[in-house]
Amino acid sequence: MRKYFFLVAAVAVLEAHADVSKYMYGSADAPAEQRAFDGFVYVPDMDVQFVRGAKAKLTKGWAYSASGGATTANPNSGSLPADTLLEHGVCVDRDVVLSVPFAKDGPVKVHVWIGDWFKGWPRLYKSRVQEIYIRHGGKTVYSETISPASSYRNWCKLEDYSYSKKDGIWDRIVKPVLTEVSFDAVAKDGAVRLDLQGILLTAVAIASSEAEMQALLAETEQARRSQFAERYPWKPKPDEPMPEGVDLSANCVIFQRNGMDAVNPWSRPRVGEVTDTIRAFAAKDEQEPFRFGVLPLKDYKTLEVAVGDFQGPEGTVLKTSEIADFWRERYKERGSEQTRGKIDQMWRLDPLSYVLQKNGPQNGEAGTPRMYDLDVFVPADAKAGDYFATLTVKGDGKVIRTGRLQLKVLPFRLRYDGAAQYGFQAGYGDSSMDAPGTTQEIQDRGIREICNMTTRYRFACISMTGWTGGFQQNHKLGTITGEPGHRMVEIAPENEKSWNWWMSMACPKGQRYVMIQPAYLFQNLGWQMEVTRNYKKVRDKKWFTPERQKNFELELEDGARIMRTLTDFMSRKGYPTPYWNLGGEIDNYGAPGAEAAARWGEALKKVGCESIIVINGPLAAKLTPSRFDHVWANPATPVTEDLKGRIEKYGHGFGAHNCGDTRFQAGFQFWRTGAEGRYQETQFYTRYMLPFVNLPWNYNTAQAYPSLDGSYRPSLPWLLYRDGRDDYLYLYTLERTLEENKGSAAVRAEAEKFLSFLRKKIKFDPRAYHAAKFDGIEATAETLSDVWNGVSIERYRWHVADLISRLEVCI
Amino acid sequence: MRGLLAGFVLAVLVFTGVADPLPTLKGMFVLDGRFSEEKWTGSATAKFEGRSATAYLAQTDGSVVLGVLSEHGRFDGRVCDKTAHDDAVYNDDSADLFVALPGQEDFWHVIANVRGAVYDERRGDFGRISVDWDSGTRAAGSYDAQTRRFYIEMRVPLAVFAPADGRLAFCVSSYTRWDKVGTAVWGEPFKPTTWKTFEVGGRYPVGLESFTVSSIAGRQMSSIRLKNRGNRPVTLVGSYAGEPVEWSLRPGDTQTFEAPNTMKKGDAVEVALRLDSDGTRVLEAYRNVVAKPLLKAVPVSDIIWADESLKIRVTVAEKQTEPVVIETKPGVATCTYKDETVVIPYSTDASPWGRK
Repeated sequence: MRKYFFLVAAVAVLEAHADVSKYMYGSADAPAEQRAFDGFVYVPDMDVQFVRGAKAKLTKGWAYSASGGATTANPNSGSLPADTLLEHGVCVDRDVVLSVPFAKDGPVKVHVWIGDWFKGWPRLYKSRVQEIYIRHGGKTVYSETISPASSYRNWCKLEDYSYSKKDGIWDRIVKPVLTEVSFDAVAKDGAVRLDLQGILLTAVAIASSEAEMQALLAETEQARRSQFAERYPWKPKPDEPMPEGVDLSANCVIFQRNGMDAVNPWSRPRVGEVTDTIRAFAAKDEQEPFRFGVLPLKDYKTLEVAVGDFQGPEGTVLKTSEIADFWRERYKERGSEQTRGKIDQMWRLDPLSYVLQKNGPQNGEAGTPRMYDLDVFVPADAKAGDYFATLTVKGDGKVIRTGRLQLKVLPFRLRYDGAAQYGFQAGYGDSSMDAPGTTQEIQDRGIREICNMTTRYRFACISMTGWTGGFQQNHKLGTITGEPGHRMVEIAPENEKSWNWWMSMACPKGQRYVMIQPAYLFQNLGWQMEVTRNYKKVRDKKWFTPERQKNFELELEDGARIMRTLTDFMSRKGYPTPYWNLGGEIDNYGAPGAEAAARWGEALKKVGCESIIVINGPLAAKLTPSRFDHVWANPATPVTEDLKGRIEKYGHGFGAHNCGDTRFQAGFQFWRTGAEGRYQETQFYTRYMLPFVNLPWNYNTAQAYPSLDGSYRPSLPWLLYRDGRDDYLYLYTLERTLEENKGSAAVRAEAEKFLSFLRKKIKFDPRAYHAAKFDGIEATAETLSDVWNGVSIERYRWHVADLISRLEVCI
Repeated sequence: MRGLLAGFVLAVLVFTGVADPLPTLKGMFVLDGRFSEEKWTGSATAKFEGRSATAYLAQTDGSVVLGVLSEHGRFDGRVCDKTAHDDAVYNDDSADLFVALPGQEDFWHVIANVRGAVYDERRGDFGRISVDWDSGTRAAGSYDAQTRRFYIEMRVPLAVFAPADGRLAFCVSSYTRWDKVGTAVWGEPFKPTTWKTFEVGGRYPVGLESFTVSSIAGRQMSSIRLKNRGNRPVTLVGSYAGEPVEWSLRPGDTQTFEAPNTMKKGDAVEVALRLDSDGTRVLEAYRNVVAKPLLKAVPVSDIIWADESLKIRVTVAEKQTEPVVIETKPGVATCTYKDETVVIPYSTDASPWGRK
């Protein structure tokens, strides 16, 4: 029935506008229903419209596929496009000849829709084109220089947009996807010829007059809006009621809300949240955010918020500008939070306050809460006690409200020594540094920024193996020489410089170990292991021939020897101990591949190197506990006390891999498992956040956001993940303090009892708290538990802090 | 314009082709997970490529029945540990049945493992997945150590698909976990246009437009929206959640019916709708639900400050007919609604901010 409708609509539109031509572009594989939209003629990438020329490099079409997986795997999948026009496109590097039946010769109006729904500007990288343009009759009508800087501009599109209830959803999140260009052209022999370079061509319309063109554009936009409304029937929720006692005649309301509690444009402060004093407590040397909101009750064109310096005990002053980052939150639709990259439920389009931007003036419309985060880095030598800072809210330049911030500095520091390291797969951070026009300086800076972002928040680059950006070509770490069976590694003095550069950035003082993937490191050293990089093929007997099997034995022998040499080198240099990671999530390769990967555990044991493996299923759960020094499991394994027991029975370390990215998962739940470390891939899935970081389409798992200047910034979930890590550190510090037999027997007994209570309360298997049901979960910013909310976690943390304080004081 | 439309209709008909009848089994089908050639006498069969395996497809007693007998390339690498409905059954040694109405892109997908656990979903408009959709499938299977094979069979009521024209397109695949390889017959998985169409016969005058089942404990109303596709009135007689129902639909009419289902908190229930017309089964629909409590009472925090009272978030999952009774004693609070009680232990702590 749907097909009939489209066919009728197409014919009707063509009849209605005799003096227009409309074309849309895409893959030749697109199914029939993707080829019909509002009278546009579908032109596949190999059509005669595209004229081959000397400079033709790439004319590649694509089309949406509903059956595809995550956008990481399939750039043509992800969220259902807003309309048919966005379901396909062509990256064009050719002349295009557009038939104009209504005008043989003479002036016409042309309108071009540029861009795409899925990958957008990163597609251009492949073409390696630096200058993109549309030319007609020798004149440039549209152009842009593609460079790392322009990539960031495109990626961070709408960075300056401040949410307003007055803007409809289509205008906010669909219209900005495409760039639209209008210009005058001249038809010759019934055709308009355009010269395109590096253009992501979505559609072109040609009309005989401006009036025809305006009518056409209005009709096209209406058709797109209608289709979007059918596909995404999202509606804003009504405003929540204001709590009793709020003076509605005031200029604004200030309130404090924990980061775990959502703020939507329709949110209102709850009872107990309205306050003039925003409070937080923190240990010395801890990082802790104050999160608060301003709800304007009157319209202000600009809303500004400022915090003064903190005045502490005995006249101490902590300068806010030196000890804190001040962020304002930007609304962005919740989007896809798992790695499927799909928006299939309308609540995912609810605007949520969570993208962090440097604090500055913004729109202060009445009734839309604006959230702020003052992220304080408490100095290690700060005096314990209460500190106060003034809070000033200005509307249109005038002070409309004042309040204060109260920081309680606790009389102890959190213990990092021996605590679990929290690490990321940081190699997925960025791809802008690969853009045309990049330089070694830009690439090096990109790598440095990833490390800075990680270490600034005291996470560990445990899998920042340096293979991103230009590391491979710019920073050679040594050379592997020799015949199979006799391969050796040599590290020249200039290679040592590269090691120093990498390690000084990625592994700050105190980091105990670093996870290294030899399959990629050896590539830097000039040797590409064959079987170890192709576990998936091992099950194919045609591929895993007797000769390859023999080569694999040599690969194991040579690889282990080289890792021994590198371990010794790293030890001499005082770098963290390498944990050699020779196979990630090996259940993906089936039993033969998993068994091949497991061979590495034995090979490394023979040479006395530390091995680590991240596992994700029953095959690895059987194969790895006895073989690897460190076995880190994800929820699909599954993560159980039995698994932990089987790993620890061999004296091996049990750790968490991709067990979730929420505060609770990173904190109390992680602590419950007693894992030695935590490896979460998704925080730096920044390069997958496509096509635009500030729009919900199609991939929103990353917690680190890019900035226009090429640096990274946290999102609110990043700060919450760090808070989770600190929840763990509070508990760890309490345990260490107890081990040291500090404090009175009564307080020690109280602390033991409380820890025992928590162990019973928290379930060991992280799946117990997963809101969405996926067998292999990488990121779950949705935790299914009413019990572990922002208020309760903060109170548990306070209880732990109070116990530590009492133990420390009563030695 | 008429010519264009006619051409389009013709194209669709040519594309979907003439369907083979789906054979009806001669004997009685006993779903016991044990393979025998006799059991599948007369069925449509197909050999898989790349694996010594056979699919058997037939109909019997208003159901489509599927059997997949397959070698297991690594018998000591058998994986089959899922037992719950809609768990990740697809990660075990398993068989998949894909079903679509011919020419449609939406489809149904049923997977069973050797233990007989079932995962079923519907791929609806715009590729959206509804795991809520349940098929009423029964499955069983077995491993045979001697022949190093595994066998899975399933029975799916045809009335859950209710094909208006008596035709369905099928595709079958077989999957083993050890090598993570799936192989298919009668088309390509997830691509309904490639599947083989069979004539299943029967008369299905009614279509299910929507089916909303309340999963709340107690006696709750569910909503069933039906469409009479034909030009004759239809009287439907059958049962919903075990209770008899009788509904009528005028020709072309679409109507929403409400019917009660009763469950106790925590019950795992298959809520079934079964409707006959003129003595023939014409529609079935299922939802597997775990009954959620009527009363939810969660403290904002179970640690309260010395100068504040316990805050509890109370939600009643139905139109409230009586008050929730909350009793608080030192260290414990109880919330009661109807026959459900939630006990909330709490402790009192000194606030970091002192007394307000």
